Amino acid sequence: MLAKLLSSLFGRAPQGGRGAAVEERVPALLAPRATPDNPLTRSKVGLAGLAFLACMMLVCLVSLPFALLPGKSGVARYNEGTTAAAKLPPMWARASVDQAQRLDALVAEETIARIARERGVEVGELLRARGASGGGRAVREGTGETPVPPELQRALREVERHWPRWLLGTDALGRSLLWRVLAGGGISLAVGLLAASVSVTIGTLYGAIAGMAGGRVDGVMMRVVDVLYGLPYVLLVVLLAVASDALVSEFVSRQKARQAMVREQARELVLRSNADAQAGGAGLAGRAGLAGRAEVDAFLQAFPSERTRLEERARAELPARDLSPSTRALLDLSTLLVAIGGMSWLTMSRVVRGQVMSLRAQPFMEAARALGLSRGRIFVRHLLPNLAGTITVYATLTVPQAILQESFLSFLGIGVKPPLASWGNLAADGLGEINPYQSHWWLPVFPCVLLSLTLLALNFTGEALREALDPKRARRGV
Amino acid sequence: MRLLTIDNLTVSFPLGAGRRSVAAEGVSACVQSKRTLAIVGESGSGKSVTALAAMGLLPRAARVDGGSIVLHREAGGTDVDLLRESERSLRAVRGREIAMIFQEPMTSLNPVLSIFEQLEESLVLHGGQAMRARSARRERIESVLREVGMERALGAGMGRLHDYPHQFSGGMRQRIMIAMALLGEPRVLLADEPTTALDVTVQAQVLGLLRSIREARGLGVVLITHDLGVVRAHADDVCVMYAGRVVEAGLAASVFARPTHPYTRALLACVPTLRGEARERLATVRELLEDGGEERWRLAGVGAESGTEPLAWWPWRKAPGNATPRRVEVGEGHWVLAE
Repeated sequence: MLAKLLSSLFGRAPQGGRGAAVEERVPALLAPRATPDNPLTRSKVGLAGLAFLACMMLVCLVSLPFALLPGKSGVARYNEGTTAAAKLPPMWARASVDQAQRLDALVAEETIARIARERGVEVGELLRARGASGGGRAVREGTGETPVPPELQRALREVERHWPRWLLGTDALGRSLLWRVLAGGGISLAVGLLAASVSVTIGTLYGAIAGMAGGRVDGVMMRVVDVLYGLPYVLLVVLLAVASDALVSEFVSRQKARQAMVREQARELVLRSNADAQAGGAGLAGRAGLAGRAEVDAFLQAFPSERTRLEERARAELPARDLSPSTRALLDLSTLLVAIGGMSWLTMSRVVRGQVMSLRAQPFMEAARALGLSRGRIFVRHLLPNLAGTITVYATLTVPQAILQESFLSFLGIGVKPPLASWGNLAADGLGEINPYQSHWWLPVFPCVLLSLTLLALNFTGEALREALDPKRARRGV
Repeated sequence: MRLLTIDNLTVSFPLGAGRRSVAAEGVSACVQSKRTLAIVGESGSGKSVTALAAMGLLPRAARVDGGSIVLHREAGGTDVDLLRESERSLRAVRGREIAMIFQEPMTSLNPVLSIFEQLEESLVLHGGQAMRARSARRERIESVLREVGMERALGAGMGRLHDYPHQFSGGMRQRIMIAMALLGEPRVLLADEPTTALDVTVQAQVLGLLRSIREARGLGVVLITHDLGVVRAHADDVCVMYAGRVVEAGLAASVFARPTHPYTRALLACVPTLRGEARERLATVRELLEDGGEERWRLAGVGAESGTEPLAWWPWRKAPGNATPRRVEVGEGHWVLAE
């Protein structure tokens, strides 16, 4: 299928031969063979969507190493910033009075001293003007109460040129929104695509098996889907996420493993003392070879020193795994994938099963069997190509769904954990910044715009792919 | 030479509540090389069930209650009873030794694969080592397509090999189906109403093609049809089926010259002819069978030596002897089912 797409992309190009003044009329039987059109260019919007998506992915992918690499201060770029630079607008937008004031304050003292020297202004005067109520702006624009000498105005404008610049502004912690949006885009797209592929794989296999098997197997498999459908979806996603999260944190801290080790060793001690006591005539519990839960608990409570000794030993033997933050983030992301992918295959499996059922009744399936094809081969060669259109469309619809779900889970604090950005949690954070008093509009707008453009592009792409994959939709230009 | 012998085949379907519907009962037939066996009968007479049983493609609910379908191999090979083979070994038989052509060329080809991809499949499956190379497969496919007369239709240099089924006409698609069946080099070709969906001109072409391929390759052809005109023109042997039983069988010439079973006669009588007097409307099989009472069912001139002329077997007649029908010889290799 891919080879077909590629060959059509680089092979024959559609030919437009319209516009001749006198039409030549050819009997249909003698008409020259029409050249097939390029399946990829059948849908213009789809092409636009695909192009946008490709650009978006490329930008996110290329920028990801830069966003994750440490910047000047040794922290990853997406996480680098000072509170002094909090909530500053994009550099091309107009800064409000207090924002300008804070921007002025971010210019280094040496720079100011140099400017003062060059412009022939007193440093103290310049600093005062910068720090005055209304900021340097009032002075600059001459809107202050006292007239400002022109050289001071020029000096202040010079200072403005040295303002730190953020293309998309900064967030509440003074981090560059550009880097956060780029890093978040990469994560959102990756999560969306991976979760969708998980759901497509599970859904297709499950639905196809149910559809091919039919009868009782199909009934049972589909009732399972019905039951899962009946349960509150969000609850299940959250449960899945929490469960896999717990597994991950146990994997990291190994707390339970340590506890088990302590208890095991305590049990051995109890057993040994029991055996000794029996040999001597009296025991802690009087039974050899047996040490129940209660006895172990009692032992641990009775001998705190022994307990700390055992715990220290366990700590030495089973230290908490030292995971780098990036590994930890990766584990968190896979948790998210399991949760989203693990629940969104339901619709997919139903759709695929329905398709398989109707395809199974088609004569060409019987013809394939009559050729001697095995079930597996029929599935791969005949069923999957027929399902390709449906699967692509649903997959492209699942990607935005997964991205939205990821943002929802991130909002709940289960998904992408705070220092790491995703479009979802950026939008969620930004939403609180819209208020009638002072709107930091850039915070929600950029992630939201990018998110919705991407979702739109995904839908267009899905449509285009369906057109491209269906040979019957070929438009034949001569 | 015998290729396939169907003996006493009985197939039934469950009706629920412990009852079974018998789709074929005691069906016997024999396919020989370079000969066409026509199985004739109306819908539900058991024609297709017989063919599907030979392919091992019966629906899951169906059950074979008895009989055998023996595939005779050439010298050196062992004969096998297809009804007792595993699914795995049946897969090796399908396509390679027995191939099938279906009724609907429109829907029997996969709409999303190009015809080349579909033809190739048969070669990948049955071609063995020699067909590993794509160029070898292409060469084979082109030669078989030429054999089925697709050369012109596929354009210069077989340019249309990579077109999709919907871009071909019905007759072309049926030719492609035949080519697909031939690629496995089968010895028996089951054609289940291969021309029903085609118009008469194309029908004649396709049947002529089947005949020439049969001669060239020494195939045995089973032609399942309800078109008596087709049978008369193309079949060597005929089995007339009704209600799951073969009611009359024999050489085509003999059966058409001397149709003995009332059902066969009724079938022939309701075919419109170009000769003879014009009738207002053709009689239906039912009318023809209900007229004339008991006498109509007497097999005149048969079994005269024993003194009594037997009655032809008929499933709906409540007669004591109805349960165990027997074959009565009418002529050379031509028999009819009697009570």
